[in-house]
Amino acid sequence: MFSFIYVEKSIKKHPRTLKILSRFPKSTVITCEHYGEIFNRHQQDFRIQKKDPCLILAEKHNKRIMPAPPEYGLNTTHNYYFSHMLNCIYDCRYCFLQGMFRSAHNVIFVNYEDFIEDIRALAVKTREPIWFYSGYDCDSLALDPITGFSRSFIEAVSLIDNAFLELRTKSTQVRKLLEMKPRDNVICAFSLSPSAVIKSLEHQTPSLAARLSAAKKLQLAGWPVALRLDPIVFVENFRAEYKFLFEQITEKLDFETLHSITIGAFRLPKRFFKTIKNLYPEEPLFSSQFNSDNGQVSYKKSTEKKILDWCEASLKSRKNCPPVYRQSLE
Amino acid sequence: MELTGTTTLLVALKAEAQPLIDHYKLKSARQHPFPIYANEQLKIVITGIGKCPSATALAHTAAFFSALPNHIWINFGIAGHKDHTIGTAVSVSKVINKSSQQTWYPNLIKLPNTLVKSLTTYEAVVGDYVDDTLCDMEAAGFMSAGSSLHIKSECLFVFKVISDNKLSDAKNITKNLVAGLVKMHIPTLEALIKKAEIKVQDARNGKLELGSELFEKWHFTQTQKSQLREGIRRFRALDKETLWQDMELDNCATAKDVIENLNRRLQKLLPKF
Repeated sequence: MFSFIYVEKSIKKHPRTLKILSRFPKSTVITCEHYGEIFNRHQQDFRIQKKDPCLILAEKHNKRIMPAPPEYGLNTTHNYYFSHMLNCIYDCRYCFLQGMFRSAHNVIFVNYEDFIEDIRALAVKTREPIWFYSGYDCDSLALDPITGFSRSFIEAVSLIDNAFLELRTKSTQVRKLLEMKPRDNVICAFSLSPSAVIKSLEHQTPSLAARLSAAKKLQLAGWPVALRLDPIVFVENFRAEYKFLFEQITEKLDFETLHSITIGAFRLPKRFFKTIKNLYPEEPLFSSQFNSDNGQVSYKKSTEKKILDWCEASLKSRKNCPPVYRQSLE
Repeated sequence: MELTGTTTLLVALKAEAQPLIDHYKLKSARQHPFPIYANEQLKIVITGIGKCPSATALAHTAAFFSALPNHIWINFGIAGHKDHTIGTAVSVSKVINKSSQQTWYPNLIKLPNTLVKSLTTYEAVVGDYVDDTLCDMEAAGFMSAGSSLHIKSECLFVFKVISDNKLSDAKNITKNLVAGLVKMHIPTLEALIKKAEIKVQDARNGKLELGSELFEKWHFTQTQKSQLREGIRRFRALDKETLWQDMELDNCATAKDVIENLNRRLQKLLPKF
């Protein structure tokens, strides 16, 4: 899977490093001083790297848990995000990571215990519910069999009374969760799109059917499952495509017990959009009619409103609809 | 002589270059401060020994020849290592400048029968082989110049063949030995070039110049040129079945009309998946 693995010298003997390396016996391991030497260097081509990315094992020294962007929460007050990984094994054309990072290599931070300590420290500062979102700079579960991420974090967070953990994913790697006792304060949130969008824009991701099947397994095992329909892409036959998606959701999942559904139209920070458009000039998605203001590129306000109004109404028209939240710049 | 190749090899010595010149039937390109041999795909530049000549040769070649986007640059040649057997091929993962301790990470591609090691570039020939890295006198100059010229890190490779070690030091290196070592690894070098080309090809195709033929027909300001290019890019992305050149533009009196015409067409298009 990874031909070359860069490892920071200081964590070369970390038990998690050794465990991860044992999964890649054929990879060539290269020692570096700091992951930034490879990940943050100038003049990298994300598109070329994405074809054959390397893995980088590193230690995250600071800024491990960050306040979540305002539109990221579920109408909750205390929202944080964290990333035990940078980048993702999938290749979604709309993903902001292509614009945010110079490199397409995958970084895994192996010092989970420091992340968990920071989560605990934040949680004790309030008695109110405090949310920790994973899957902002990576897919939470895509490499779970290798990273052992879910077990480490779920076991730790489930011991904190007021903490909630959201694991956002497009993957079907739920085996580790199924081996564990379900926790009410750990929500597995599946990002879903219509099959046509998955086929065209979410390269190397599991199919819609596979994601729904993984979500159903978790539901049956008693885990809270949420759905994230974000970004919603305004395509030809938009209503037909998304209507069919909603039908598949209600048909395959236990719709009324879903924890929540969030909806958000395609949007990107302007500078990320420009970078990604230059990386993939032939991509139809970046050729739609967009508005560009307040540093964001998005559909025209009227279009965005129509998209979200229609999706929300369509979802809520279904029997026993779970809470639907909008993720919007407004 | 037109030099349009997609890959350039920088080697220090004529002896390193000669087997490649013969193999690829390269022709000499005259009037350059460095000997350059080329065919349509490949250039070989003989830089001379040392960091400075290596850096200068890269800078000269990059500046003098209009290279395609994502042109591949390879520093190829012999290097020493304390233990490795003479003739071992090595893809260099890290280049360390001994005098400044500055480091670079060249790109890597998995190659058969090839080690992956760090390399230290020294000011002079090394006799004691202290470090567990390869030693040479050029790679740091090559990487330093490549970085300064904003060449993408994916396009910079350092590939070496072990020519000396503790058992047989640099004094034993002869032209014949070098020629033999290079010849032995031409297939590996070819594999490197081929794989590197495949990697960058897709990104190279995406960056074609658009619309320049229209600039001769109407007068476009710089802003209008940029609007036209963006419009054509969007049109090509959204309507893959229609050639943008087939749009009826004959009625357009000015560049502004051309852009408006294009924008009207674009308003009707949505991404089709």
